[in-house]
Amino acid sequence: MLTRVAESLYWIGRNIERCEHCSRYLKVQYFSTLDAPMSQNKDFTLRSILFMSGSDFDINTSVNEGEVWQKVIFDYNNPNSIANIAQKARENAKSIRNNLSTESWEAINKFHLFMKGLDGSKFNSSKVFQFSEKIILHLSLINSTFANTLLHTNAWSFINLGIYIERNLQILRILKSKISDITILTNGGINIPLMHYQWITLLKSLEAFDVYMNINQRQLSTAEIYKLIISNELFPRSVIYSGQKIKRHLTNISARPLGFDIILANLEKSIDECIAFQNFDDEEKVINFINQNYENISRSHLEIQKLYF
Amino acid sequence: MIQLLKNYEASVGMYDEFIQDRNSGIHHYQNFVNRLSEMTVQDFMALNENAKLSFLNQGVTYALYDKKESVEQIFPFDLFPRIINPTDWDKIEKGVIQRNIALNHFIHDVYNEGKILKDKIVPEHLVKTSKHYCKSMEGFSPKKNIYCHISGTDIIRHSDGDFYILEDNLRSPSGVSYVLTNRVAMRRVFPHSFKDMIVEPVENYTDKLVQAFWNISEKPMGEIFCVLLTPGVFNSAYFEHTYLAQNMGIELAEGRDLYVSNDKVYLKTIDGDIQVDVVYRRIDDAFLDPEVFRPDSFLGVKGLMRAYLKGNVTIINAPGTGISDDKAICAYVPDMIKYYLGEDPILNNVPTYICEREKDLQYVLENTEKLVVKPVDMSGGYGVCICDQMSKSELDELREKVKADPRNFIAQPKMLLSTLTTYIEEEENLQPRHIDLRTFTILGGKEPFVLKGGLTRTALKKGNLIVNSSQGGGSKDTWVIKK
Repeated sequence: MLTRVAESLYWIGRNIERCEHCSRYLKVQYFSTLDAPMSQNKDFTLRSILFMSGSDFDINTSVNEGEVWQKVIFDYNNPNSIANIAQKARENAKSIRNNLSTESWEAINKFHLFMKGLDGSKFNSSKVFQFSEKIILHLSLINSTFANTLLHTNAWSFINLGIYIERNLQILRILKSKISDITILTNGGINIPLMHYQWITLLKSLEAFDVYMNINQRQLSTAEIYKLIISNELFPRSVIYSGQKIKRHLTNISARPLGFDIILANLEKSIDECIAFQNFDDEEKVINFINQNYENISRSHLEIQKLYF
Repeated sequence: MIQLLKNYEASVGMYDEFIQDRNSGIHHYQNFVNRLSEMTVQDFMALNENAKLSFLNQGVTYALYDKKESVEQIFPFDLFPRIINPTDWDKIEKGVIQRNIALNHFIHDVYNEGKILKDKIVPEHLVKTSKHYCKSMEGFSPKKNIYCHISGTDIIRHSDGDFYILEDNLRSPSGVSYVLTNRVAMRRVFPHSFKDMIVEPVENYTDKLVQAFWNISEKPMGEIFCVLLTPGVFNSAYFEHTYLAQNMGIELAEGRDLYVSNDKVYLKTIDGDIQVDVVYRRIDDAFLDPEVFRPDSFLGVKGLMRAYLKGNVTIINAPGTGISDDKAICAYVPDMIKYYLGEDPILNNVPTYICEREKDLQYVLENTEKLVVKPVDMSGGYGVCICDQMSKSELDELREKVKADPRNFIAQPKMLLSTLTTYIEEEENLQPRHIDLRTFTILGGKEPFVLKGGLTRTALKKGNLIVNSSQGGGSKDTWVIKK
């Protein structure tokens, strides 16, 4: 496989995963502002959406919904808008499409055409739900064609490396950002209903709400939430699950250039630390753990880039 | 559906393929029209929309360059197929094989002994001043002496009913991917029509191409490594590059993916570097190797020509084949056929006035308004002047240009390309539109191969004689009826 092709596959995975996180976060956060107790903090939530999507915004001026939709969804000048990420994924796929199956290429192309066909000027809050649902459908189709129409060899593994590195980083970012939001909004945890509401929003942002409620008999506990999101090996949107997937796909790649063993060792160390982590009651230690993991995964990204591309 | 064809009639003096077929009693189109009559106009329009959406979703597009950016477009596809009967196809097939074999002899001769030039059959000056003449190829013979492995020959049918060669494309002829995707689309849309008559398949093209690569490289099947060298995603024919690479099972590489070491070409992969035996290049000579051609090229591979001239890699098509695309040289192909093969041309050239010849120049200047004037080295319909549609001042300006640089121009009588039934969206009915045919010939396999079909290009504007996609033309599936 060409080095250029490997890099493009990796970025297709990252961009597709980023789009999914972005649109899910946008939907969950936006709808969370419609009811009390968050309806009083709409501005705050809209900023949170901008922050999570990686879009620039001025902290001192108020934001309105229309601006947020434009920036986060449609703005081709914003490198992190959903339309732009979809376009990047498509450009990457186009440049290597002979390495993809026809089905996965068409799924990516259709997603890009869907985004291109939307009229940003006519978009409003009544369309957020429908839009997010369609995005999820497109992205599910893309992921399904990756899983079902590609040989599970190098190409598939580079895509998945991208997917799980992005997922890991996004989970850690969401977690960190929510901890900060909750501290600010609940006045250090005094406003319990608002705190619970925020934790539920976090779980929904990771599509973890049902899973959490099933495991914990509908009892909300910060420590249990951390435990699920950080170290439940069976939950696909946990830090450890993504870490193990990264390791699996890295070892599935046939090429083992010099330096491969070091990346693998670092990754294994990071996974071991995740398994060993038990201080879910201690928020400071959780935050340190999140920061450390974020650093580790970012380093893995750089090492993969250096090694293969 | 009959309504769509109700007022269908060919313009006076035109050869309309559908009407001629009906009048001659052959009725190849009748079965297809019968099938159409089973559906309503709305059904047909829905099929047309579905076909367009299918092309868009597949990314079957080409890029049009405007001043700011390249705009991706679907190559308009017309659902009414072109049908070629076995007798006509037999003539076309034999004619293009004969022509391309002669052209291959010519290119070899020009870069080696130069007999045809010494015998003054083709003026040496014309060849050596061609923009596409490649000095590096002098004295070199590629494997099996094959230069033009893939040729695109543009053929028209004039109002006299006969076929004529409009031009040759021997550098990197494009369009074959549309032949293949058009057939897929037609099968999806009109599956039952293929039961009414036996249509020659086109899917074997990529297999034939790979077989030719194997044969030329003189290595056992499966032991060669081929790449398709593309300029990249912004190239107008990028869809075709990916499509062919995928269907041939070869790597699609950009210049930056390749490098030359010890006069051998290597591909950079995650498993290490792999030596490349065949480079199917889809970039022009000028960008192929900055060491030999344009030094500012980032698209090619530095040292590629060194590796080629040492015999360590095969380039398809060979550099320098573009001399035959020069429209002034094209005019001599009938002479080449006689010279090398001792045969009369099976397919005639469109009569051509070579402006560099004094007598021809005088005729062109005196009769400009009756002619079509073309630059010798441009393709895609660019620069073509249909003089009876030009104003006096435009004609004067053209004459000045021709006088200033006669080597750069040829002129031809206005050929009335045949017309064929074409769906016109704005009018919601079927109307006659001018068409041509690009055939694809492969040399280098066990025997010459012509893809049984080819790309029928159709103008979409009434009366327009230029059918190129870059000028707003579309395409049709081409059905060659099996004998």
